[in-house]
Amino acid sequence: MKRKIFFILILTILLTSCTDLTTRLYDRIPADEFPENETQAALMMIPVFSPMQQFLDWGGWWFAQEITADAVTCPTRDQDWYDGGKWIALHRHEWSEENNDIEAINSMWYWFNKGVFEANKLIEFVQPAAENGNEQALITMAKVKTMRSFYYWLLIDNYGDVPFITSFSQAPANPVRNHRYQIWQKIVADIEESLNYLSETGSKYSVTKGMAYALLAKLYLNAPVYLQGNMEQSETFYYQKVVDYCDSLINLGIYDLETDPLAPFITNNETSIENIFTIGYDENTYKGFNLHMRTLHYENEKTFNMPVKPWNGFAAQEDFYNTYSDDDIRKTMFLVGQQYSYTGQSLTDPGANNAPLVFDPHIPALYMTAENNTLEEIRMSGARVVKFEVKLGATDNLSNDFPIFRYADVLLMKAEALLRINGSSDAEAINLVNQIRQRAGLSDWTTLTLDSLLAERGREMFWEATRRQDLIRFGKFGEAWWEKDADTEDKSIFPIPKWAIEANPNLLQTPEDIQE
Amino acid sequence: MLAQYSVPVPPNPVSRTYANVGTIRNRGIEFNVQAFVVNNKNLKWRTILNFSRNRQTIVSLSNDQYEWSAIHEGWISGRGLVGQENWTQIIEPGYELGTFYLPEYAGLSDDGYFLFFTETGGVTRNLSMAQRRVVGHALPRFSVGWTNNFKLLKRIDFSISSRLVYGFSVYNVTRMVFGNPIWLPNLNVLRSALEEAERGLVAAPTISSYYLENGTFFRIDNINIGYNFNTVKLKWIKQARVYFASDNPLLITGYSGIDPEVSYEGLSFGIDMYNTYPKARTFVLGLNLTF
Repeated sequence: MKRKIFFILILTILLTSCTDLTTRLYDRIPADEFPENETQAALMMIPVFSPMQQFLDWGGWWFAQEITADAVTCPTRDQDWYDGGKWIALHRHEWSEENNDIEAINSMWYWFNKGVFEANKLIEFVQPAAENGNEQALITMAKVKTMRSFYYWLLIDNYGDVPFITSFSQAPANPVRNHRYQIWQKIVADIEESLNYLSETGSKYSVTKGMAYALLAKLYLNAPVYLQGNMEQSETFYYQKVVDYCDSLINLGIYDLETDPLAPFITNNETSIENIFTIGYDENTYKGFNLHMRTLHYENEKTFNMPVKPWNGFAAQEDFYNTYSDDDIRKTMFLVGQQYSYTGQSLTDPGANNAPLVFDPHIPALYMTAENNTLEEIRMSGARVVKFEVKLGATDNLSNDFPIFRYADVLLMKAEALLRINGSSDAEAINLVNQIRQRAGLSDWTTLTLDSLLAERGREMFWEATRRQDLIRFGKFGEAWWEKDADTEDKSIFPIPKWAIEANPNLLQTPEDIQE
Repeated sequence: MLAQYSVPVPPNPVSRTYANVGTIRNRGIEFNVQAFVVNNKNLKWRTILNFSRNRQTIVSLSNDQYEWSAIHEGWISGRGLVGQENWTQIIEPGYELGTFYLPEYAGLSDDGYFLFFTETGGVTRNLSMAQRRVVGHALPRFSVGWTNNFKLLKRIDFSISSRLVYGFSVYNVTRMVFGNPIWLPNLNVLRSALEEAERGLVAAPTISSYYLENGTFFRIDNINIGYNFNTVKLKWIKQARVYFASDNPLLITGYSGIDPEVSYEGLSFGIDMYNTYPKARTFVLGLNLTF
């Protein structure tokens, strides 16, 4: 009997407790509600952007765009800067399917694919929340898809046919290559679909409407290169798209040219109205911008009161330097002639028997040796570049943001597209280029040709890692220039690195069509 | 055996991953002899002799998923060293762990460049044309430890322990990089750089068997000598001992660097890459009082 009463009692308790079984979580956020706000979204996206931090140094991208072209050079200075021939290999276009082990080209493959990987991972992570209608997840998805397209743009621009992977968990273990034109179609579609979710204003380190428009303009402007033989429309169609997207960007009304042509490149340039999408370098918290170390002479340490000695390497090619007229304000970005300390003392070079430190734009040879060259030639030849301001007391990492997309570039892209559509009489194209020229303190042009536009574009975009792509688009990448013969075969894409092929021989396979 | 294996990029975010795939076989002998050579009232002498010899051989490096036919190990770095040739050891089935596999040095050319033997028996100054051969082992052929303890007249104690490590090689990166005269006069260099300059060397630091040295050494690890006072008559003290001790008082070796005993960790060892911290030589004079 006692037992029966006890049993009823237990049953009563069980039947009357807990009817609402919904759990309220206090220590975590359910996956479909994350991200809850912009801050959480921004934090999640950091890994997608971080491969870009490597672009100017170990990542190899800057080197592969500039050292391979006709404006910048890294001459061997006797015992310095030979570095196993890696700079000369870039300068002389020595890469090929067989010679596929060149540092900068090896590194780019890694970092671009790393960006794609991080993007795919995040897309898959926010997918459930996005399908649930979480607004922040939808915005994040749009931004990350645009970033994935950005990395794929760099991949097809540099390597041509590459594996196109859009899944994290379902990624093939040993992927084969896909056609460049198909990847182009997919990434353009991805960005165009994302546009609606992107905001007009926002951090220059993240994806905004302006960033997406600029990226689309780049993709359409280079479409004849990327789509070789697979263009579904006339060239005019693609160039008109460039004009349209450039207009969309211009009509946002939030970007403009700075008055000073070098203002977009000053230290702490994060508020520049000219920059659209940048890598947000910082000397302490976001290191990796050390191009000034590569170009300045050891003794320029005293010019900028630096705590470290620079490395005395990179310089402008003389022929390119000479295309700047003396009244071009942009020419002040070069250091030539006698160098001074920041207190105004004339500098000498202890490594050259205390000869005055005088930069000569003339570089006698790409490979300078003690046998053939004087110490002055080895150590002081070549105009040095301070396009990005080196502040007094700068360390080995700059705090200047590096623009990937910039308003002046957009104006020049629009001018180029108009010129290609309408021919040299296009008044708007001439006007756009003249905006750039006026700002540089130069007289207006009354006519414009593809050659003169490329030259002006080169002077404006110098040191900003666009030159290789521009030369390819203008069909001039294979031409001969200083210390480089004309290419005997097409060098407009880099070989997939040896290290990647060794781990996945499928990369040698003929490209496959993208399966839906 | 854990080793790094290449994985495809894409889809992986890294180009190498650690995998426990390889198999190593350890085979060796070790014996220990202890003898009380003299054991009487006035003299006790105990001696311990220890001999060991071990071979670590690679059996396999691959399984179904991960595959290596051979791994290049013992990468070295330093000023002037660039390119893909700067590895010193090979890990390959059939070889011992720590096998030095290097371009064999064949002298200097008349104009001061390194020459290496090629596959066909000729010589070349082009490192990538040189033939690599097994030129040494980082693991010793054998080692012997010898310890002696003495007790004399009940008052004096004396112990000495020593070691002979025989038949191994050390790759001297310190000499290769800082013993090169091309850095003169701008950088600090080793004295050997001056000898190399006299020899006519003008080439930048280059990897070869020239910098592989015999590491065989004999070392006295420790000496300890003490005198115990007679404290029977002193009630307030139980024991009083004065002693002299020394760690690392003697090293006999043909190795030119600071110490042939370099690190023995990981898959690559026997490399002196200007990171060998000198072993201190200490002398201690002490007094032990027990109350």
